Formats: sequence, C-alpha cells, structure tokens
Amino acid sequence: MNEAPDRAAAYGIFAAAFALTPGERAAFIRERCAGRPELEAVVLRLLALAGQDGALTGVLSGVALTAPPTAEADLSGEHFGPFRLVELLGSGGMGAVYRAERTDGVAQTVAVKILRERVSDAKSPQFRREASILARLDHPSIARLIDAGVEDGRGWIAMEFVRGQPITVYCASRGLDLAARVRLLITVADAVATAHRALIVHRDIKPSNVLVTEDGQPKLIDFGIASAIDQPGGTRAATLDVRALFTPHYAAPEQVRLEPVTVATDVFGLGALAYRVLTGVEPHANASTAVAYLLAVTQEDVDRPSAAARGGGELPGVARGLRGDLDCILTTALARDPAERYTGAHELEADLRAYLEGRPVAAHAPSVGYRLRKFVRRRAVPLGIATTLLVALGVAGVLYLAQERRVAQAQAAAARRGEFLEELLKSADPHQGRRDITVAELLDRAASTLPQSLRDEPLAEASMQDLLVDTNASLGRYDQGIAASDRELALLKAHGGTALDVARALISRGALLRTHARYRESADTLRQALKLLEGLANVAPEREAALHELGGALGNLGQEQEADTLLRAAIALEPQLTGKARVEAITAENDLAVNLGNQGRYAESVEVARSALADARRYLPTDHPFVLIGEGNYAMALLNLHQPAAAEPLLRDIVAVSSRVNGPQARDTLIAEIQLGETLLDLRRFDEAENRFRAAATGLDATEGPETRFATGAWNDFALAACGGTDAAAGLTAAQRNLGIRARTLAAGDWHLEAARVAVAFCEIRLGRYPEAEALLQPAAAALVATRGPDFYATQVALKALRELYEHTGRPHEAERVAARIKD
Amino acid sequence: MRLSGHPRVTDSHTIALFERWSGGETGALDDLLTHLYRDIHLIAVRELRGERHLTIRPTALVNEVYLRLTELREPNWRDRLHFLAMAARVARQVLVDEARRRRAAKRDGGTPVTLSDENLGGRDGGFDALDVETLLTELQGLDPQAADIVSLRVFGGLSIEEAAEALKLSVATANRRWATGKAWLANELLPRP
Repeated sequence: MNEAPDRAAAYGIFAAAFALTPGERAAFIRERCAGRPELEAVVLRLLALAGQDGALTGVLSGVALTAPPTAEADLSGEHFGPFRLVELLGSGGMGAVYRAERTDGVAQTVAVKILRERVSDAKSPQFRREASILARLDHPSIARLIDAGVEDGRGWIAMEFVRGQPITVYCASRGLDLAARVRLLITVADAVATAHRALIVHRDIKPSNVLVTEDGQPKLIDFGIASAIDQPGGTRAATLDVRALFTPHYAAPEQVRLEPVTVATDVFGLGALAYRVLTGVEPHANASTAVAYLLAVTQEDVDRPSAAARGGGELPGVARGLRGDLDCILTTALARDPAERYTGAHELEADLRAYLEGRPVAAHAPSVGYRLRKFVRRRAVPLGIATTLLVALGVAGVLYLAQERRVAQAQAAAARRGEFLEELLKSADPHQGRRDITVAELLDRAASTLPQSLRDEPLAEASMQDLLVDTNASLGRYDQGIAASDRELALLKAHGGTALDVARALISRGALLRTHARYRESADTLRQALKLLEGLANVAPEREAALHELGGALGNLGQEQEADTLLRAAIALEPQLTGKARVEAITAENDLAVNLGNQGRYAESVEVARSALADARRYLPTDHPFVLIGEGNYAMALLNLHQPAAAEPLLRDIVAVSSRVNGPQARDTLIAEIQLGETLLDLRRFDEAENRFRAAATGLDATEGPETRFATGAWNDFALAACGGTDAAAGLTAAQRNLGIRARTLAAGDWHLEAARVAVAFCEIRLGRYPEAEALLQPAAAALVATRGPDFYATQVALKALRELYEHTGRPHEAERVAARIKD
Repeated sequence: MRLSGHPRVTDSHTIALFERWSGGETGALDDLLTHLYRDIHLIAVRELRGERHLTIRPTALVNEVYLRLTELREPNWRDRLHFLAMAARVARQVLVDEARRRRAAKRDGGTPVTLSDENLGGRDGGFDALDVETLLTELQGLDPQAADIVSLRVFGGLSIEEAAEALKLSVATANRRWATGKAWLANELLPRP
C-alpha cells in the first residue's frame, strides 16, 4: 500500500476535473482513474465535497481550539438562595438560565442564571454589592434583578421571568407598521435612559436581549449583568473568542477596540437595534465574519437605513418612511466616533418621539451640538470608574451622569454636569486621596464649590443644584436639600430659567417639604408649580407629580376632600403617561386609598387600594416596593374593616420581603412594621405590638427625623400599646412628648393632634389619673366624632378609652351609652 | 469590558520594526512576527491554562494582532490585508505550537485539547491544529495557492475577495482554489460516510 502518491494523484485529478464544466468531469475522471477504483472513489468524494457549500463551513469561520466540552450538568431541582431550579431554559455566553420557583413561602416564578465563571471568595462581596445596585434598577421595561448570591463559588442571579418574543420576531409576526415599531423603540430607549441615570450601562443591546410580552410591553433582559460579572480590578483578561468580546452587528467600535464602555456604547446598541427593527437588516450586514465586522464597524459608516431597507426590508415601502429624519436619527446613533452620537439614550428617545409627532429632530443640527457633545464625551466619566466608585461608597442611583431637562441649555448643562461629576469623583477617588470619604462629604463639598466653579453659567449651576436637591432628599438630608433648592430657584429666577424648569424645581421642593412634614409650605409650593404648568403643553408627567404631591400634602393637613379631588385628577392623567411616570402614578392611587381610609370611608378605600395593587402588580415584579406598599394598604383596609386576623399574615410577609428588598431600616419596611403593630394592637397582643412600634419609631426618628409624620405616628401607637399592656409609665412619657411635637407642628383642627391627646388620656386612665384624663379625653373624643365620624379608627380608640374612664369612675350609664357606638 | 493585564505593543522596538516594514523593508516583517508571536502566544497559553471552559478561535488571535497593530497606526486598506495575512500566520503558528504542547501534556496525563469546530455538525472533537497543519503542509506541496487561501480564510478570517487580493489572484481563481483546498481538508478531517 503506497498511500501518499495516491493522495497526491487524487488531489491532482480532482483539481483538474473541478476546473472543467460539470458535463465534462465524469468522462475525464473515468479516463484518468481507469483501473483504479479506490482512486476514483476518493476523487469523486472530493468532488462531492467541493460542490457542497455547507462542507466545512465551520472551517470558514475559523477552527476552534477548545477544551473538551465539559458536559454542563442540568441543575434542575437544586436550590440557590431561596430558589429551586425547575427547568433549564437555555445556555448562553455567561451561563445557563433556569426557570425557578421561590421556596420561602411567597409564590414567585423567576429566571435564575447560574454563572459559568466562578466567583472567588474575595470577589464575592463585590459581586453582591454590584448586584444590589442592579436590583434598584426600576423600570417597567427592564427585567428586574430580584436577588443574587454566591454558593460554593457559583454566582447566581435571579431575574424577573419574562414571557415574550425577541423584538424582531414580535414585530415580524404581528406585522407591525413603522410607527408601531418606533413606539416600541421609544420605550426601550426610555428604559436604557433610566438605567444610565443610575450609572448602569447594558453593553449588549441586541434583539435577543429585548423581549416583547404578549401585551406588547418590551423588556430588556440581562441589564448590567456583564458589569456585575466583569469585576473591577479583577484579572479577567479578554477571553479570546471574539464572540465573547462583542456581538457582531450590535457592538460599537469602542467595544471592538477594547476601549472603555460608556453610555454612548448603549446609544450605538440602541441605534443598531433600531436599524434592524426598522430596516429588517443588521448594520454592516455584509460583514459575515467577526473579523470582517471588526473592520467594517471601525472603518466604515453604516449604509443609510433607507438604502439598506430597499434591499431586503420586512416592511414593504418602508424605505420612503425611513428617508429623512429616521436616516438622520439612526446614523447619528450609529456614528463611529462616540462623541458624534447622541449624548445619551434620552436624546435618542426624544428624537424618535419628535419624529413620531412630526416635530423637528435634533439630529439634523449637528453644528453647535457637535462641539458641545464632543466636550461632554471628553469630559464624561467612564461608567466603569463611576460605578466602581459608587460601589465603594455603597450608594447608587443617587448621582446622575447627564440628566438634563432643558432644551436650550441641555448641551451646556450636560457638559457642565459631566465635568462637575468628574471633579467630584476625582476628589473621592481612592487612588488619589482618602478612602473614607462619604457621600455626605461629597455632597457638602459640591454645595460649597458649585457657585464658584460655575459662576459664569448660572443655569448650568441650577441644573446641578437640582441634582443636589434630589440626592440630598434621597439620603434624608432635608436641610441640605432645601438649601440646594433655595439656590436652584434663585438662580432660575435671576437668570431666566423657563417656566417648566421653575415648575420642576418647585415640585422637587414640594415633595421634599412634604417628607419633612412641612405640609403647608409644601402645599403652597406645589400650588405655584401647578400654576406655572397651566400654560404649558406636553407636561402630563409634571402635572401628575404636582397633583399627587399636593393631594398628599392636603391629606396630611386634614383637608381630605380637596385632597381626594386632586388625587383623582392625578389618576385621570394616567392614560397620558408612559414608562417611569406611569409607574410613579401608582403613588396617587395609594395615597387616595390612604386618604379615603383616613376619612373612615373604608369600603371605597378598599376598592382603590385593590386597584392600586392590581396596577402595581401589572407593571412591576412581585417584590417591588410599590407592590409591597399596595399590599400594605390593602392589609390596612382589611384592618379597618375589622379583619385583623386576615391582615396579620399579609403584613408579616410584607415586613419580611421589604426587609430583604429595601433593607430592615428602610422607611417602607418601618411603615410595614407599624401596620403590623396596629394589627397586633387590634388583636390585643400588646407586648409584641409595643416592641414593633418602639423599633419602628426609633428607626424613623433616626432616618426621617423625630417630627415627621410617620415617626410621630409610630410613637403614638407605641404609647397605646405600652399603656394597653403593662408599661403605662413609658407609654405616658412617649405620648406626652408626642403631643408636644404635634401641638407645635400641626394645625389646631388636625385629627392627629386629637389622636395624640387620646393617647395621653388613655395612659393617664391606666395610671389612675382620671381627672386629668377626662379633661383631655372628652373634648378630643367629641372633636373626632364631629370631624371624622364615629367609625374612624382614632375615634373608636377615643370611645373605648372613654368607656373605660366611665367604668372606672362609677358611671355605668354613660359607659353604656358610649359602648353603643363602639364596634368590636 | 475591562481588559486589565493585557500586554500591549507599545515598546519602541516593535514600533521601529513596524515602521521599517511599512517603509517597504520586507525583511522586517519576520522580526515583527517573531516579536508579536511572543505576545499572542502568552495570551493563548494563559487562556488555555485557565481552568475555565474556553474556546480560542484563530480569528480571535488575529483580532488581537490586528488590535495591537492599529494601536501603532491607523491602517489603510492595503496595509490591512498585509496585517491580516501576517496575523493569520501568527495565529496559525500559535495554535500549532499549542496543540503540540497539549499533545505532550496529554501523554503526561494533562488535559486533552482538541481542535474542532462546533459547526461541523455535532462532531465532537477528533482533530487538532496539528492535524490541520500537517494537511496544509501537504497541500502546500500539491497546490500552494489552495493552501495559502485556506490558511488565510481559516486562520485569518479573510473573505474570498480579500484573500484573492492579498495573493494577487482573480476572484474566480481564488474561489476555485478555495473549493478544492477546502474539499481536501474536509475529506481528511470529516468522518467517512
């Protein structure tokens, strides 16, 4: 057997035959292989393979050097955190995804991703922190990160389970027209913009990461997951598989070049997604290999969308619709130089909206904007650094990279903000200075340096001060927030800020004042904002915010009927709202439920609470704070309808979930504790109620301030529980202190003041000090009956106390008369 | 994507070699390749020694080389083909050396590594870069143009048109050579029916 010459001969005959026309080949081969059937067989096989397009297509895309595939075990049935994996859904670059169920009592289906890459012990806390930042990402179009953890070095991430189709499939299967597709893209861009404001970048926007649910809601999945895994300071080098580095046709030039990823990278990703959804073809569709894409995306501009759609669009005649504005919008988003793109997803969103509404788009006027944008880009902080820093500081979502609201000054403000934030971050950079700097110090420093550093640009400073108002408010720093608000308003007034700017500044201030229990000032401020909004178009989100804050403030002031009207007006605006604004409108429904409850209109309250809860559950995952608030209100409505036994387990659940999701000292958790305490009070379990109230009140004193509405409410409840139980002396002290605060901060007719008097009186009865109790209790009870009605819960407390007083002081007839009005 | 610990071509020696080569001094290319080889090889080895489930594609190595070179200068279209042809050589060399090392390690009881392709219809493993190298060397003797085209396309990710231009062939010829060279490899590497 001499094999080598045969191989060479076979190749020679095959190559020569291949050069002939197919008709000539058979005779040629027969002649050259005469008498050598093995040789003929090899030649024919070669010929067959050469004619086979699919043969070795893999070779074409590159031969891979792989470790033998370590069969990935199906982990179905195993437990990770509070989840049990039910079914393997698929496997991607980062790991396998399972459908999973909660096992800790709350029924919930989630998607759990088990990361392929192991998380070392050292990196584990960082991974958790990064995950907790992502968990705060809150938008109806972003699949929420619910929980994450590390078990035996295996990182797992639980996400909202989304039932939907990739956006491309959805659009094609429904035959959506151009406008409907643009509307979907607007929602996606809004979601990305929200994430950017929290300094979270997606980095891998592509059709398979944008699912659309049955009812048409787009959902971005895997938001920020890449960042969470790609740990800062880690030693993870590029996995050399280019596919792991970027997704061809959707990756931005800077990703391909391994340069820092910024918000502009997501703008490119959104542009590429829009390009595919609107034209039916991918950007640089001709680049068939990863390397070809690498070259195309870094060296060539994309084909104009209208030209690309002519080739193979899924929408007949769409090219005409794309020509002009959409061409401009998409090519701006897909600019090779990040500095030439939109500064953020919000700008792309605004232009898509402008296109839909037939208004001029910004992409047409690059002259001035270009220079400024370039400046922003140069100054913008790479997100990696920013998020790392925020992780180090333990906060997120409080600093906004570029949340400009102005039209005329947007670019300048953005530039200033970028620069300012960079300065701030630099001053806190552990590599450059102290490590123990706090956000509070950062904010104080900002407040003191801003006027100087921006003295030539008062409107830019106003925009920065607005940032400080929000940031301080979210950290519970009311005085600093008010100071920033004062400065913002002064700047806007002195330097010609627009009516909308002033209105927004007033709404932020009104909300801040309300949280600080300065209800009258809050209401005045919000009324001014509403007045300014009267003449303006397209301000539904602002109008809604002003109405529901004002409604809430008036409710706090006891002007509940007017509050009802305003809250209902806010709710009526809901159909005009989208995205985050729509979700925030749920607050109006919740406030209305509370407000109705406070008027003793319990049946109506239950209805509104139920509807708020249904809305929250429709737009949000089950452990979202708004859902928890909705459930809490519903439980309170049950309590008001004298069903404490039904409310109790619900509230225990809410406390547990909120404690995990929001943190044990978060305001929402403490409020749920109070609600649980009130339920226990009704069940006459005084000791546990007393403990719950004390913990909640102490927490609220520290986080909200001792004079705020929830803190005083908690102390009032504490007094009732302590005196109802065995601790009347401590109860009386608390009740008296509370009455002092309320007398100082509330208006004369406010029922909260009467409720505080009732608490003091009740404690005095328990201590046998009947004359003092009676002097306080009789007028308070009368006022409550008159203003709130006999069924109101505070009235009922007063009546019960009065009955007890009469019984102890030997007045059985009067006790009986009072008892007739008590509902037990 | 953070890529810390990523060796960069910034030393003056590489730049000097690059300048000489772009200036028309063809001999400088071999030196430049040797120089680049070290970097690329380091990356490949480090990746392969990791415990992770991993895949290295030759085109990814080419990508690396390319990125390194673009750091030196903004490439023009003609340079690019040279780059890619060159990078294909580097990648091929790295993979073959690595396959050799792996085979030796396997004899010593190390992790067996195979060169395979997931697009080959579920065929699990079976050949490695050294097998491909042996076949390409043999093909070089039978049909040098076919071997060059296969090498550029398989290891460099070049399109037919690009490979044709790099080798100064007509596209029709390049297509024919690619078809026959590819069939030659497929005949040897794919399981017989």
